[in-house]
Amino acid sequence: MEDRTLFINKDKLLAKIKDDHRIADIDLEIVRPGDDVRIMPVKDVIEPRFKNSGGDMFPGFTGDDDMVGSGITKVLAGTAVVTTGEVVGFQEGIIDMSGPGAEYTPFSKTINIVINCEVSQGIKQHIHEEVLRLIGLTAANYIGEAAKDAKAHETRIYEHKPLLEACSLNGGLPIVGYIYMLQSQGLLHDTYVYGVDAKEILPTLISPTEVMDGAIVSGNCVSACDKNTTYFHQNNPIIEELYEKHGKEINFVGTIITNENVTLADKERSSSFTARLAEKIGLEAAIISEEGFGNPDADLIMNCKKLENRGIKTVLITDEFAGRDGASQSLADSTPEADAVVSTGNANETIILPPLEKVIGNDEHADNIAGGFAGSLKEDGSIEVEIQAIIGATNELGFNKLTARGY
Amino acid sequence: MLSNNPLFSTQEKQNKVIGLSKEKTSVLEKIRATFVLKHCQELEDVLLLTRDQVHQGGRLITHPLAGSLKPWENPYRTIGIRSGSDLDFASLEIIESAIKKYEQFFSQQKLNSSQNLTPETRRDFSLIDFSLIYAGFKNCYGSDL
Repeated sequence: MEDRTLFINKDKLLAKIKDDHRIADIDLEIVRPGDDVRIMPVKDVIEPRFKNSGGDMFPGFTGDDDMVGSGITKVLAGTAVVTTGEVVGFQEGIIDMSGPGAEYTPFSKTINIVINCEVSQGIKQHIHEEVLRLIGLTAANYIGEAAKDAKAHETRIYEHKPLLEACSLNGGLPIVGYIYMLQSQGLLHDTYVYGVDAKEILPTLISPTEVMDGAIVSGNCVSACDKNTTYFHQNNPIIEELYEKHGKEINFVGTIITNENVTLADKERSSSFTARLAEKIGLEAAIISEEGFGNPDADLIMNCKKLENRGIKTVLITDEFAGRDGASQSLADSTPEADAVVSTGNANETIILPPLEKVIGNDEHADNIAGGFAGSLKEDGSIEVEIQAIIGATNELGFNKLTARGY
Repeated sequence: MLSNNPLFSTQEKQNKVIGLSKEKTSVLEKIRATFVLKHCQELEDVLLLTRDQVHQGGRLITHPLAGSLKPWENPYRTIGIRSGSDLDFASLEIIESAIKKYEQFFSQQKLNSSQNLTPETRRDFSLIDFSLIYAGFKNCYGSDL
């Protein structure tokens, strides 16, 4: 680092990440806001951070298995590590650095260190996903190290008190918690907590500062618009906002992570545990955020219903799949208790993406996406896609700008 | 178990299953041995036959909507159902709303995305569908599977 400028030694970084026999080819490029570049298919996005004290980033993966969430964490804000790679044939995930598509993804505004990686022939999809996941985390750590001795230009303090103490503070303010749903359905739909596959966890408390230190890592590569990349977890805006209002309008006492599994028995168990835990820690109200859509809508609604039945008021945050005209039912499930819902946009809305000069990732895949929508490939080479193909377009943590309002 | 996933088709039983790990191949064999498999040609048949089963007292084990792919982007679906004697309204509500969602997207998209799929993409979709069931059943039945 020289003042605010980050320098990367490409050879050193590549040497750090390519030492894996499963990698066939790897390269990296830096792209900037406004560049005539399309990145696709994006696998994950990670913010480089460095912990001067209090453990290492990404515990359970690149960091020691010890706890994080305290000490000093330095953030190279404005940069992002972006990994690409086609794990499965129908994968999407577009970042346009300029043009109309750029408006729909927050990563058109970051300086991206894009790692384009091909794995050896015969590598199975789940191994491919794992290789890309580890490359991304390792690269982010390597880059993050540059912040080690750098001077911070802005300092924020986040405090997370023990529960009893937290609940007794701020007398009179409503006791509010956050129910943080994690995608955990199987191959390409997974999230990890301290390295543990989230489908194996029972709902539990996590400190918001642990989340900032990379305790939650994305292994999710489908549903570009509303998957939570690792970057979104690190920068969860719901947590930021709850901290912001803490002590003024609300008393933000705890975050409960829960999963989104496939079987109905799992869904019932997780939502019941979540509701019980929320009651035990004395919540009066909770924000619930979903990840993904389809059967996770059932988890969202179960969480809502069971918390409300215990007298805990809920606000849900979700995106919509309401059809291209926005006229169809938005969610696959509903309940009368879900009377406070924030929409982060309709993922079925279509957009025309003009051709960009350069594609990083997989050119062929551009045709695949275009071919996926009959007649969407225009003669001038532009493609018409639903915004769900764009990374973060309808992010359900509210990271992006879209919403829908009822009048 | 109702499915239109070719992995569960008896005709394909002898075919070499591409892309499955040893562990998953053994799960596949156990699923075939443990459950009554009804293989359907069309996705719609999977949903409608599941509804029939629910009307006859069946209870859904797995959710009929896919994970986070685009709704009905995946042309394959596998649904687990347990037999019972009384109508389970929760299961009925879930399968009815899934069918409604299916009709909504089928009429809008005519399942464009699934009609011109390459064999590789079909294989990937088949694997994803299997993986969801695998994850679910591993949780439900643990070491028995």
